[in-house]
Amino acid sequence: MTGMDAARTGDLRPPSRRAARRAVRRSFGPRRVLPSVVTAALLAAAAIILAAEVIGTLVGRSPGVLLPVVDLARLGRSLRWDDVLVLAVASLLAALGLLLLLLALRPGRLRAIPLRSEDPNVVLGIARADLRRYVARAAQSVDGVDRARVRVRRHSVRVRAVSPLHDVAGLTEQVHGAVGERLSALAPLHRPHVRVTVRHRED
Amino acid sequence: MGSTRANRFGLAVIGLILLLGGLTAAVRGAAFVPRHLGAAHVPVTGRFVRAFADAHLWFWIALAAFSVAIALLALRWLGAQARRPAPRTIRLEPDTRHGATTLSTRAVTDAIEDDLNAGPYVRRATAGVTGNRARPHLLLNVTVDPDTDPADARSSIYEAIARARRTLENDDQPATVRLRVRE
Repeated sequence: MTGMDAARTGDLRPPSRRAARRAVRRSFGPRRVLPSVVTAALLAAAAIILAAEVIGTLVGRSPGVLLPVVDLARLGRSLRWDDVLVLAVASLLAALGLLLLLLALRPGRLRAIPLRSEDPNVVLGIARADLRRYVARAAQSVDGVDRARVRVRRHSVRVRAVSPLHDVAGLTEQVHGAVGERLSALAPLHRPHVRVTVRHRED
Repeated sequence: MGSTRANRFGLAVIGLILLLGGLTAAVRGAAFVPRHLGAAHVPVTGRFVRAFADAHLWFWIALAAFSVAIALLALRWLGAQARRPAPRTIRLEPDTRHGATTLSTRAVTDAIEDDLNAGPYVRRATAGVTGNRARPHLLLNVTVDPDTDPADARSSIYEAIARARRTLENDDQPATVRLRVRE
């Protein structure tokens, strides 16, 4: 290895949390496709119409084919900056701009729950619905549990199980253990808080 | 995946322009700082603006050129939303001075899929590649049964990736794995 290579690969220390987080974002971060498509399409349409109108007029075609130029010019002359319409449009544009800015700057929700990975170049994730199925099966595998419904939130997993048994106190512990074990094996990057309730119901 | 950053950048720039433009116009209309922005009770396109636009041909030419540039950029941004097709081949050595060895992407992904599907823990696996042929990125979708121990699924995934890395002659070959759970 030459000196330059050593310098380039000098950061051989264990992968930092920041690098791991960035890799997760790159793989599972929101892509913002919908707002981008809408914005790009509207921008393209507006720019094409404006360009066509201006170029058309420059090469001698009669103005006003694509844009009501005459009406717009009259509007510009008659409207004053303190008119309600101008203020309303200006505020609307500012609000729209703020919305786009927030969409761009806020980190957004991940499309999958990241799992711990022992390899810095491998990003592992599981979709919310799949985690739900996985945890539900773990809860149902406990003897005495009929059904289990699971809700997965950002920081918590909520399990509601139904049992035909009268004494459900010990069962709650067992379901908690089974779910915890499954989560430990799955190893999400941020371990969620687990809450279990078992209700008695005879069918 | 390059479009993610482009989207963020594009939305931020357009948002900032709209926000600042809208705010400036509103502040002028409300006559908060007339000294700097001009009087509020005057036409939006004042006499000076109209005279300037009428007298200067280059203003219209510049406006046309600007609109064409914006239109092209916007269309390119729109086009970037389409998923880029996977590279059909993957290049082995990054150093092309001594000739390049390439592998078919299909052969690599098929090998990973067969590898995972042959094991007892994975019900179905699909593999794909994004990026370009010099810097491919592996994408794996691995479906397991809800009764499978996640640790077993994980180790067979790592084994498959390790084998793919040996084939690709790249110990750091990056990969994104989505674990799916189906009955």
